Amino acid sequence: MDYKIEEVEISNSLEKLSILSLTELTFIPENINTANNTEELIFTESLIELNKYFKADNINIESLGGKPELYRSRKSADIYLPTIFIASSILVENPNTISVILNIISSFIYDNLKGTIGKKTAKIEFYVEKKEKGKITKIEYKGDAEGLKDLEKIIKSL
Amino acid sequence: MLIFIDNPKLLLDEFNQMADIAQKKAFITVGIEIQKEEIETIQNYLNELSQLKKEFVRRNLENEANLVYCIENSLLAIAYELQMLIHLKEDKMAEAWDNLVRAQVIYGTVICNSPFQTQENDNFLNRLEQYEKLLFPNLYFQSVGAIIKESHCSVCNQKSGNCEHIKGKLYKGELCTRIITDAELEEVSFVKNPANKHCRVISIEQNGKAIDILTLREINK
Repeated sequence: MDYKIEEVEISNSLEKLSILSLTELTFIPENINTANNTEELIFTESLIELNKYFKADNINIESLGGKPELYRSRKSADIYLPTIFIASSILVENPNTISVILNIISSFIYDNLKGTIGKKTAKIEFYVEKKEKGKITKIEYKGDAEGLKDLEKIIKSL
Repeated sequence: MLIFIDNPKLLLDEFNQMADIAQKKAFITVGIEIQKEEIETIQNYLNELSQLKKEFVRRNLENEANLVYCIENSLLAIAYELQMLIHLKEDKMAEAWDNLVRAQVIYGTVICNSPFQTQENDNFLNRLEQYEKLLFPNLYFQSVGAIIKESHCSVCNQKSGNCEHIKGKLYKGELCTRIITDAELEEVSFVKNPANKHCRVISIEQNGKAIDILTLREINK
């Protein structure tokens, strides 16, 4: 498992996009820091399919700025997954949701790697909100489906 | 073929026999005419399977229709493998590569959807991977990045994301894909590990001459 942790600041970007708050679980667009309005927001293409896996397990994740219209497609063999924002309330009130989310993403990666040739990596970022409002820790993960499950402890420890 | 509607197990038995015969001919030493004949046999059988699949769909037997997809595409992958071997012997290297990639991709969809996870599945995929390493030089590929503006589901035609069909899964014997109708090209990059191995570097320039990467022959413009 390969992961990197850093603090990020998105409140200015949200203000520019006239977004007052985020729902507990939110897909974050790739260009959150450069988009001038919500119509310009570009989401990772795999969001379309991944969200169906979440819905099948009754996990509702909203996309920042409403229903996505633009998706970035990369024709690389690696799997690029959308960034997911996790609110601090989830960690406090419903921590089991983290393991459910990670299991769903893990199944998605497993299904997408099945029947392919060569070494492939999945890449995903989580924006985890800290207890102090507005503070966000970014966890950047690169690895296989199995390693993703180990992120649970790291996310919960933040 | 109608007998298989009552007993799909017989279909599996017939498939196993056909695959066994075809794979015995998938060696580079086997005569070209014998391999061509085998491809024709597979093609004829695929035509019959197509009718059977329609009948399963008509009767709302989705699992059976999906099974037919797996059987027809497993055989198609072997046909592409045979075609690759023929092309190699006919000194048509670019065509050989394309057929290998077709076999890999199509068999990948079978493994993703096969109701049976068998060692034979993995063995065949490994075999297709080994061809790539043993018969072809290291290749470089191009990867395209784009912003998708409009796309829809191949199964129901609804806008992507508006339905429950999952790309890469089977529905009524057909593979669900995303049909992109409007996209803006962002970048083209050189990669070693592409999603599409058809998209490869074809030639290099040496001393002002274009050289075919597979054959090292000069390409006549």
